[in-house]
Amino acid sequence: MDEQLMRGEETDSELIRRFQAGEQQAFNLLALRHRRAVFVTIVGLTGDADEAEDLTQETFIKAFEALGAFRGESGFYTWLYRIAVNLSLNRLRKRKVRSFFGLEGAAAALPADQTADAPLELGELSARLRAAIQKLPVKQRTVFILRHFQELPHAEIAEIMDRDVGTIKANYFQAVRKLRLWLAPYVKGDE
Amino acid sequence: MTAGHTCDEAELNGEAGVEFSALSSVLAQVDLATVFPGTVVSDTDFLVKLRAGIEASQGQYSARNVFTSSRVFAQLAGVCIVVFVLVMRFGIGPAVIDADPTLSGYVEPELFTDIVGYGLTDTELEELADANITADSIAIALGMANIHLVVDLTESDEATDYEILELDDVAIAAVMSELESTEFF
Repeated sequence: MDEQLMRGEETDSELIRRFQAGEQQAFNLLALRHRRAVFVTIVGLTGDADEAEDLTQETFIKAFEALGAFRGESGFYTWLYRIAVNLSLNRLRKRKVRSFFGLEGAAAALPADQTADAPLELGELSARLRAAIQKLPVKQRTVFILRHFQELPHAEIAEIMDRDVGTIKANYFQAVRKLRLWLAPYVKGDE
Repeated sequence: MTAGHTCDEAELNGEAGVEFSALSSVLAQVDLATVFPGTVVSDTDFLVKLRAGIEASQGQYSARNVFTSSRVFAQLAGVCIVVFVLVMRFGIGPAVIDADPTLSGYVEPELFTDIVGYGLTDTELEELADANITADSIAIALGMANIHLVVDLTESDEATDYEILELDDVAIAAVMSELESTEFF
């Protein structure tokens, strides 16, 4: 692979310009630069690593096909996340059609016997946090992941999800409130 | 990338700020990689698969173009037939389409608004949501009114976040009448 490409000195905009000028290799660096963040976002939404691998690839295939017409009106990663989120939501929608209450399965993964009496191992805490996030309604889950884990501002999340900023803030508020409720045993320990 | 992002949660409101502060102490203990374990595919394998996927997609794209025109015509013809049958059978407009026959069980209030929220006021939506009506009940009520709706399975979190299809006033009145005549209110 082109070493210059891999040095990561170029901005996304510069790489996009090179790609649009016909240098398809520039897309490789864009993909490598963003693949993990895209994967984490998708796996957070779908809760399935294998599915997330497929959707990550699909995200970049769609990005490759559309990048020629990308005008830079929004940031590249905003645009990329929008593709990833839409693909994930579509997949969840299909899953839901197959099993109307499919997400209840994820909710059931949250251990019922959680107590604050015994300190949790980090791995167990991670598992419970993951289950709690999966239990959130999908829009709240999406907002929470983009906000908390990807650290995107509300305005960019609103752009990605094609919603008003107020709606995003409301979704985030609800997500935080629910997570606090579900993770109360561990939150209480820190108060 | 780690969890524990500190942000302007205070702008949400005071309560949320307090809640986030407490919650963040938990989240801060957890690395993102452990919450959502990362991909095991190497960069090289990822690029190889991506390239193969792009090439396959481009091949499909060429094939798709050949069929696009005929597919559009077929879809248009199908829509025209459905609209014609519905108008002849029920005398109402194209927003009236078959409900999902597999739908059953309790519907979350926010999802419920997606199902019957078409053209109803927020107050009516809240009343319906508070009634904990099951999807079966909705389907029965709508069926009694000879109204069949597309069930939008898109999960919704906001009461106002429903898709408004253009049911005419007569159709809406018929739905409300059927619902009001049952035990659902």
